[in-house]
Amino acid sequence: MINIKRISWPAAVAMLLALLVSTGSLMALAAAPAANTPVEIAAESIEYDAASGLMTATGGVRITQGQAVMTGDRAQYNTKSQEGHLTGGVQAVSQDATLTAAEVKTYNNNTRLVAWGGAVLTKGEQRLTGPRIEYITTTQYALVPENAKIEMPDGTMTANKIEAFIPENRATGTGSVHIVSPARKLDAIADTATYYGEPQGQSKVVLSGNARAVQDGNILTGETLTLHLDEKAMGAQGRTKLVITPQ
Amino acid sequence: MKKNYLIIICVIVILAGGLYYLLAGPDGDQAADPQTPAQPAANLTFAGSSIIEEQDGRRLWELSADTIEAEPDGKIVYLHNLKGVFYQENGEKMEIIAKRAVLDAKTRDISMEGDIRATASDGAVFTAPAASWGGEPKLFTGTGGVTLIRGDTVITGDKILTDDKLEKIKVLGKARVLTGGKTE
Repeated sequence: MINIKRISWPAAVAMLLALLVSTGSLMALAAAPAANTPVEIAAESIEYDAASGLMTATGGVRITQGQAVMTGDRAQYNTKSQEGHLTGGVQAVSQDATLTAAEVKTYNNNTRLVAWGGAVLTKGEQRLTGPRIEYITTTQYALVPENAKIEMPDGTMTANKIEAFIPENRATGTGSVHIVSPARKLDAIADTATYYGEPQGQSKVVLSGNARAVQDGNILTGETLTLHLDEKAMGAQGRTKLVITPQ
Repeated sequence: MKKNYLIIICVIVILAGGLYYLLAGPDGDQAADPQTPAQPAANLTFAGSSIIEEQDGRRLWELSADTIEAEPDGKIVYLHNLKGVFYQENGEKMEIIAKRAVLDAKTRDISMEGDIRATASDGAVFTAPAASWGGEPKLFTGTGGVTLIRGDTVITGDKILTDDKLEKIKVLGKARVLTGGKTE
């Protein structure tokens, strides 16, 4: 293992810190609705079959549970299975986070949301996007299983898959991870990138598998690159190479 | 022979005179007075009676009321302070009350008004200012701010159509359903 102390990568560290912390904040979409929180459905028309528990709402549908509000053109909700399906310009809003998609399915009394069709999760200036976003509100776990992307004012991370584990303050991008920050002149790639926010004061980012980071023409490559965010230090494992380009 | 003709003519004259008296009444001129409102045709009135519809020996519904009035031809029946029971094949029933109701004896359609409250066997309750029972298949239609409560589910809307079990429900206009939240 090579320890490269005081290497000048503050921009990279700051960018990754902001990037991955924002991953966590993005996922704080909706506080998990209490199991017994009533569900209110409003629409132009609603059909309800008490025997099956199936409810079909049409026209300006609005579903409210606690502080979470979902809207769409049409919705089905089963009061027995507590599963819902909204279609047509679906938007789910809770506090300052918004999830939009062509369709959203909800399971287990709205504690599991699956959005697809240009799914976008927005919080502040950050956006998590993918063709499909899954979110477990009880465990605060989020998954973008393919073509995942996080956009921020100063950078973007894309990966085949991104998972966020909110309580652990951890997020993982898997498969063709690519971090780009024009503002910081940073471009990094790896097979996998994981951010560990805990324990406090020892947060880090691990880029694994063919890791390569470029900033201002300086190139660091290795099998595994570890960015110790709080110490502003970087560790590298495996065959490592640092190429410094004179300014 | 002449005597027989005379008797027949006398009978006809007497009958014609009696018929005129019955139709015009002793104040026949008054009825023609435009200042006097026309009196409705006399209705048949029943007190403490019930109207029952049965099909193939099975009772479909039974209506009772404080007063029941029917038009002379019996096609339209008016009920005041209605109490109705709608029976289902499975033995369950739905009870309904209303201030006023009109029954079309031909179509068996019923229109109701005033503090309508229907209660199904399972406890589901339907309230509305106005409602009707009719159509094919027969449905209850509540209008004017309708509420249906079933367990922990409350359904409201401008108009609600439902079956006689209050089980299949369609809400039109400002439809709203509040469900769940019951603590076990």
